[in-house]
Amino acid sequence: MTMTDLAQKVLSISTAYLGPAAKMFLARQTKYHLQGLEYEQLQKEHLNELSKWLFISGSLIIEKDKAQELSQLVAKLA
Amino acid sequence: MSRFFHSLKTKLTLSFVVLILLISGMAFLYTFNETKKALKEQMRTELMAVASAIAVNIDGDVHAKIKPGDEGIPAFRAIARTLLKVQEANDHITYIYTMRKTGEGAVFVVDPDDEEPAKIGEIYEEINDEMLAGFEKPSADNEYVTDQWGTFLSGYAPIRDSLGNSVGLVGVDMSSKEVIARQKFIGNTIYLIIGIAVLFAGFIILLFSGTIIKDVNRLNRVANKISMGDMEVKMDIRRHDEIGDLADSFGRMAASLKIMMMEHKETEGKPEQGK
Repeated sequence: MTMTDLAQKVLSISTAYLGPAAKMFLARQTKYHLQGLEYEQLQKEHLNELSKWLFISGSLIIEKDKAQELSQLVAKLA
Repeated sequence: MSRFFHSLKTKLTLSFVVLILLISGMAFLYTFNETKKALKEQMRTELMAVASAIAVNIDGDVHAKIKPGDEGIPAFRAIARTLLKVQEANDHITYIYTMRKTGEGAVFVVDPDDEEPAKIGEIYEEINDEMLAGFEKPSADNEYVTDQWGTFLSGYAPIRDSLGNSVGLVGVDMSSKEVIARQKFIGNTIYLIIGIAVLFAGFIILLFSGTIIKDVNRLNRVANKISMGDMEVKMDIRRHDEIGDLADSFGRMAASLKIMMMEHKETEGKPEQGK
């Protein structure tokens, strides 16, 4: 499936924080928290919700302030 | 103990301290030598200036007529008084006297010293090139000269008669102790400044290497925990240098590992399908 430009941008930002498994992480967030959305189909209207979950779930994996940073960077794309 | 000597902190601190000691040692030697030279040159200039100032106030015609046994005559006493006045006004001057040239040597003419004055016509044994030059133009010893009165740095200036001919010289002696004491003071001051600088630099280096090593150790602890399967640890190093970059890379690696392990656990937990 072709990835939207926005999904590509979010992935690029997230990779800097989460490494090569970022796509797996993002797909998991959209699947469980954005009504089963395929990550590749990410649109602007999903960004606020995704940003919120990037902070919540990201805090379990990386430092809280880094998760906050990632969340804000993604929210800025909206 | 072995761990202490092999630690990065010890190596960093020791290397910087040795480097600072080497640089400051060389700086000290150079500065001290140059200061010593400059101080001696300043003393020589000062001695020549004092000798010249006295020489122009001595009547060369009168000085030329003083002969052995004239210690009591008014002309001798007048010159002696002039010399004493200058000596009293300059604490660091030990002796002031006048001399006359005789062939290749020199003899004392007026020596106002209270304790052990040289007699008129008494030969001075330790004559050197600078003293001989002093009969023609202001001059000063390049090195300390030791004679029966002690070790001195001396300045000389010619006494001229009414026709402008040299008829003697004024000698001004400064004790070597005075010059050496000044050199010692400067040396000690430089030692003190360098000592404080080295201590301060050592302290700064210790702090600096301490912060680097502290973060390297944290990085090491996190790596150890992850290597032992503890995926709950987080990389909490925030630096804007190479160690910060390393921590970020490591943090990304650890985060990816956690995501993949979580995914793996979830896949393992699901029942197998379509087989």
